[in-house]
Amino acid sequence: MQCYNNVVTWMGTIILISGFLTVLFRRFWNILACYRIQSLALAIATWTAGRMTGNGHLEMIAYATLLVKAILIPSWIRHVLKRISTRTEARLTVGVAFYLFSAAGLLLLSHVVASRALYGLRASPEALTEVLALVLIGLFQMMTRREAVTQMMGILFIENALTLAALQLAKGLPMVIELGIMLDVLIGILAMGILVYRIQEQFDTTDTARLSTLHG
Amino acid sequence: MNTLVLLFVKLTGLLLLAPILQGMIKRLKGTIQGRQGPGVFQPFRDVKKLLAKRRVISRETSWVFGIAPIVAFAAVLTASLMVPWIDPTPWNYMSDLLLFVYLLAIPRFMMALAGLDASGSFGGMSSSREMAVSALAEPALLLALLTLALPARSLNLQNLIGGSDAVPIFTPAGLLAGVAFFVVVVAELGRIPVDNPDTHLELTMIHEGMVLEYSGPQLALIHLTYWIKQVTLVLLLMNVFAPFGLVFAIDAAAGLVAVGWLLAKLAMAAIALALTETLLAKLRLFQMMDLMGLSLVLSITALLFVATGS
Repeated sequence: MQCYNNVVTWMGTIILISGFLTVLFRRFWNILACYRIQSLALAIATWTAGRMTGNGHLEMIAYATLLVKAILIPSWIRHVLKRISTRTEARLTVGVAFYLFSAAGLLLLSHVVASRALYGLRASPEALTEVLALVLIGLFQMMTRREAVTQMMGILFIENALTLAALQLAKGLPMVIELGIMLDVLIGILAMGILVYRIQEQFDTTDTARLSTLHG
Repeated sequence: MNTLVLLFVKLTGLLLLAPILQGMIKRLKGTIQGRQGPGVFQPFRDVKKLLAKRRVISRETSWVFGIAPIVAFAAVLTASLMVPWIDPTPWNYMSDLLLFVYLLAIPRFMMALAGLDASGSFGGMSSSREMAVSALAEPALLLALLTLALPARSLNLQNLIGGSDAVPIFTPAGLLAGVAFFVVVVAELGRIPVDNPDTHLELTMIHEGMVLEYSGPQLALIHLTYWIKQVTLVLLLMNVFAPFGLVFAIDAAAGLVAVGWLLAKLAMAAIALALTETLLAKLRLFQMMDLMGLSLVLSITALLFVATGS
């Protein structure tokens, strides 16, 4: 049980670190690589959780995570990126240093909230802090990066964070719900990819700030 | 007496291991990149060749140019003796964390002066860059180490090891601080995302630019200083964050195992450094701040986790 907690927390930390890395990177490929690492870490955490607690369905979910989040979705995004291939760098609206320290500020904020929420309970606030921070960083990314593709990835990061939350705080969700969410995400990302492609065709850019000047 | 013998053993080992680590990194890098790469003992041959050569000193230089390599070497050697290798026994009561960080600042200062002293344009440029990078790397280095000093309630490097019950790298705070520390080590060593140690030709060089005017035995000393700094930082990283195979009592069998662990750790570090050098591209100078910012943010997060006592 102790070992289970350790592995899951360790993977959670890796997910947090790669969350910070996404803030640092500008290139789509690097951000995509971060997503792959996150999904891999999530799959390992889920698998270990399944093994240690004897929950067979968690292991199944781990394999599904590996297939969908570490292979299918990244390949699809890669495909979309190759098709639109306008620019390889995501344009930022703020400087990277400011961006990084805002991320740290968000982490502090989530730490305050997490320790308040868990006050008096025996659970350590670390897990909740990590997860809240990851969600906030994902939202912040969607706000500050104007490319449609990075906004799509922001959703993926938030979804990963929420799955991690379920794993760390509630020891996983029921299998039906997990698989349903995964299918939703997959379909959503497929649709979004096609949409991004259409935006590119229509407006010659995926910069969402310019979409307000709609074609007649 | 015992302390003196230990000191002597440590110094000899240092002078032997430091060039070997450099050779290992270069060899591995070559293998990963699909070339043969120089042999592991190539640094020894380089030093031997340089020692046999004459010095050529620019007319523009002053006495600073002459003493800079010696002062840098002495400072780095002192710092390196503070880092525990296989034994966390506190025979070295002087190994203070703050002293260690600032001993590493002395060679930087001296080499920057020497770079300016030769009044070459490359030297001045590199000195200014070195100072810019170190201004960012120094607080990051301190902060990463302080993350471990807080639970250990001590600034002594020897006490940092085994300061907490768990192996630091397997705890969230330790992992965060470890990654932060690794980023700083790469910056301190001037390895690839920050500086390219293999090139002399580009306008981007930092470390190589400062030592451009040196030749012969002085250059050998500078190389040796760099290698010792490298092995010291690597050992500190490994021993503080993953303190496996350290001996707590004097015992021949345990000592041998510990030496084996030491070599394994060095090999692991060589693999990690060679891989980062191959996989990453050099960053623009103005993006350095972002990298150091990442290290700072990770350290702050780790401190937060440590400070709340979980």
